[in-house]
Amino acid sequence: MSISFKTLIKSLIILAIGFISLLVTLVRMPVSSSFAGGQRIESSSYGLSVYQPSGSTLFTITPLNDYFYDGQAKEHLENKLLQSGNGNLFSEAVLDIENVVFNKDGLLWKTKGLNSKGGSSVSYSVESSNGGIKITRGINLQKVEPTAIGQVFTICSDCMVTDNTNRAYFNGDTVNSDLINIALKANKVPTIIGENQSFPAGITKIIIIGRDGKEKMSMPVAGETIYLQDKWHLLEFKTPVAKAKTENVSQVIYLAN
Amino acid sequence: MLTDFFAAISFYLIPYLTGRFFTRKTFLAWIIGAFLWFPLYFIVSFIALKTGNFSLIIRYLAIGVSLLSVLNILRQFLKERPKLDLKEIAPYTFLVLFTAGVYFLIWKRSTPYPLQLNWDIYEHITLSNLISQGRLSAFTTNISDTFTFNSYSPLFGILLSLPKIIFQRSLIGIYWWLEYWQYLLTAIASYLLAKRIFKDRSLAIFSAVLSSLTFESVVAYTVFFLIPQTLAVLIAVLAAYELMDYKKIFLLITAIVIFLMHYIVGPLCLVFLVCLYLAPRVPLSLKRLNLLITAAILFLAGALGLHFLGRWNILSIEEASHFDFTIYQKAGFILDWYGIFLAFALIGIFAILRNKSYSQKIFLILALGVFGISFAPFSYFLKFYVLGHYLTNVIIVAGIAFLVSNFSKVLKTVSFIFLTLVMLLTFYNNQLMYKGPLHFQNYVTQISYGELQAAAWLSSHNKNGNDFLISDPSLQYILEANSGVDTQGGVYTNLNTRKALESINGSYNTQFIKSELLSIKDSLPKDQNLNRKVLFAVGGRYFAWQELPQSQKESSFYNIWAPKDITSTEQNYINFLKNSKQFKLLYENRQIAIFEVI
Repeated sequence: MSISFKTLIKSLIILAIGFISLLVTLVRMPVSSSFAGGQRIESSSYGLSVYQPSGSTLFTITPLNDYFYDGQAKEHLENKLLQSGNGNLFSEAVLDIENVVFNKDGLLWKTKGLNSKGGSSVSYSVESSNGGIKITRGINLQKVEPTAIGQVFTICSDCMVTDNTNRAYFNGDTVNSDLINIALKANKVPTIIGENQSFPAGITKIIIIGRDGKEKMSMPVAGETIYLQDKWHLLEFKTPVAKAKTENVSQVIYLAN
Repeated sequence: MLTDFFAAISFYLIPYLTGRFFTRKTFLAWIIGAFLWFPLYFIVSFIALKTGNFSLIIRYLAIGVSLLSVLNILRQFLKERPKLDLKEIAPYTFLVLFTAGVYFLIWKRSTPYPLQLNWDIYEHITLSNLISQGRLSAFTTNISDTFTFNSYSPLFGILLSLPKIIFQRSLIGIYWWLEYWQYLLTAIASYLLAKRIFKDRSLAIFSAVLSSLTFESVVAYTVFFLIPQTLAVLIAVLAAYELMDYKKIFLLITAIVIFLMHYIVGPLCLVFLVCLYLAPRVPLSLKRLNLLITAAILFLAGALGLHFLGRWNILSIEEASHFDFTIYQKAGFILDWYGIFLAFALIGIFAILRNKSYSQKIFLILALGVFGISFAPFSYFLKFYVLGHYLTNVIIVAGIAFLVSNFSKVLKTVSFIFLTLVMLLTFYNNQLMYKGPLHFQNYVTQISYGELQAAAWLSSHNKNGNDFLISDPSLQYILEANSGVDTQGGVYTNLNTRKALESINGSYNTQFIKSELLSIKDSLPKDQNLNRKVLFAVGGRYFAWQELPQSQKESSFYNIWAPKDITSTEQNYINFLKNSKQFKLLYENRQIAIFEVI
């Protein structure tokens, strides 16, 4: 079968327009949002937010709240966000193709910022994992080799932090009789801890519940130290890491339907 | 669900069967039927002023006329025994399967019956509900205060009320099916248009496929939404197919129906039809045609260039100012809708300029003109792109036709499949972006089952028609449409109502809340019922609306587009109202609590 030069040129034009169109479509794909079950995950210039099916925020993560530990010293991964987005065109396109081909709900959000020690870059990648979502923080600190990373979740304002041993946690300065009553009604044991006091050892799961006692999400605990700052709804998972300028830490979250 | 399926068909079938007495042309029969039902409604409404059984008369009339017409068709069929041409039917069968696949597997994938993705339908449902009760006027603004501008006659509402009156059902489920038929018909219209221009069946089918994968997700909404502007253009495009065979009286009727269907898009359709009608009668030399094409290209360039001088809001409606897009935003829309398939349109222009096809040159002039008008820097002009959809599609196909003209059958098929897949991905991305803000639980929707249940409860509560509902604009809009309970303006509620609602935000003074709510009245004097029972609906949407900035609360452009559950904090406010003496809880579910103001 021979193809004339004219046919070849015309075929190439069709292929070129088709492929460029495909590329334009992939680049314009809304990778700034993804879905896990019925829950929407969305990136903004500030952080990554996961929404409840009702439309209100379930939790948010941002390098402005996350910590790195250098010995006893503790500091936010970034005090100032210089740049954030869903990566460059190539990484977006690769992620899009992966999502479409493998029917995944991946999402990538990258930031560049500053802390008191110098520049830092943090990437947050979200992927499905055994019925939950796995959020991996890829951290690059220019001048520090941290000993631990504090993965911080800003949880829903009307939610309550409980664990697999049926404790409900509060800070002393924010707890009130209403909250205690709600915890008791949900068959939880109210437990008061300080902002710098870690949760008791032996916990295997953190469960976030609504004020109606219904589970909203859960997070397995495997060696992390957990802190609560109820005033700002911050829940921290401190994970020890080997000293290096580049770190990868992750947390799995199971979202209740 | 099955009843709604048949009810949706009746939207097309009853006008067709009515017009079938006068012509055997399918589209013309529908147009004549639509034309006849318009004055008929007014006449019956006048007669029923005394007897009060408007709906009953219309019902028997529609059923009677339809039965007679079916008998007439059967008689003709038995007499003539026409043979079925399978080759002729095959493209339609393919289009039914293809559009059903795209519609139900992609577009409505997470929007099960009867949930919706078209925000505009609720005002049409409200209008049709009132029309089905015999409330008629030449001006929609006189029928309901949901309408603040007369951009079309009640013709669309009249046709939509036919299935409601005959089947005695809520229109929301009927609409779920109706929009599939609209989608299929737009594909068929594109097929017929391309068939007439290119005289090539495979190109025509490909044209229909491309058309059905191009969704103008802003302002125009050609393929998926059944609203007056899209129906007006669909009628015009289908009429264009058989226009040359119409008698003068039928031409006039077609023009009237298109104009009544939409006062803004309709006239552009009429210019389009007049041009098509006159083109063969006033033959122009090829040289003159090419000159006209050059003029149309200059017009388009001028319309786009005008963006650099400014943008103009020609309608004095606040909402219109939000549809005043920059040239870069419009370029973004084009990329979302077409990818870079408009590059084929450039090749199409080149190909049409080179060839000697009179009809293709006429189409090119019209396409360039309509594109220029649609993308001119005037607010709402993008609406004209409903017609542009079909014309641009033809020019894109002309470009592809030029490229594949000397291809073998196999290579041509491979090219069509490749381009269809690319366009399918473009469409997939486009519809994902459109649906982005509409996620609720596991659905993609603008209305929830909870809200529909609340509407059903409201409907049963409002048996004497004295209920008057107050809530945030979006809840008013969907609840009025689905329950028939009157509200002040629905989503187009006026500034006084918005300010009254804003003033009670976060207030724990129930006497104050009550007095502010009672100050809200329907804008139409005839709907200002003195014996009214004022209901106050608060829900997830209401609280979300109250959290908007003041400027957005005072604008009809900003709404809570997707349903929202009541959070536990919001439940505290509901509990507070429950415990007050001024509010009596009548109904409650996870998304809405309805109180009577006492």
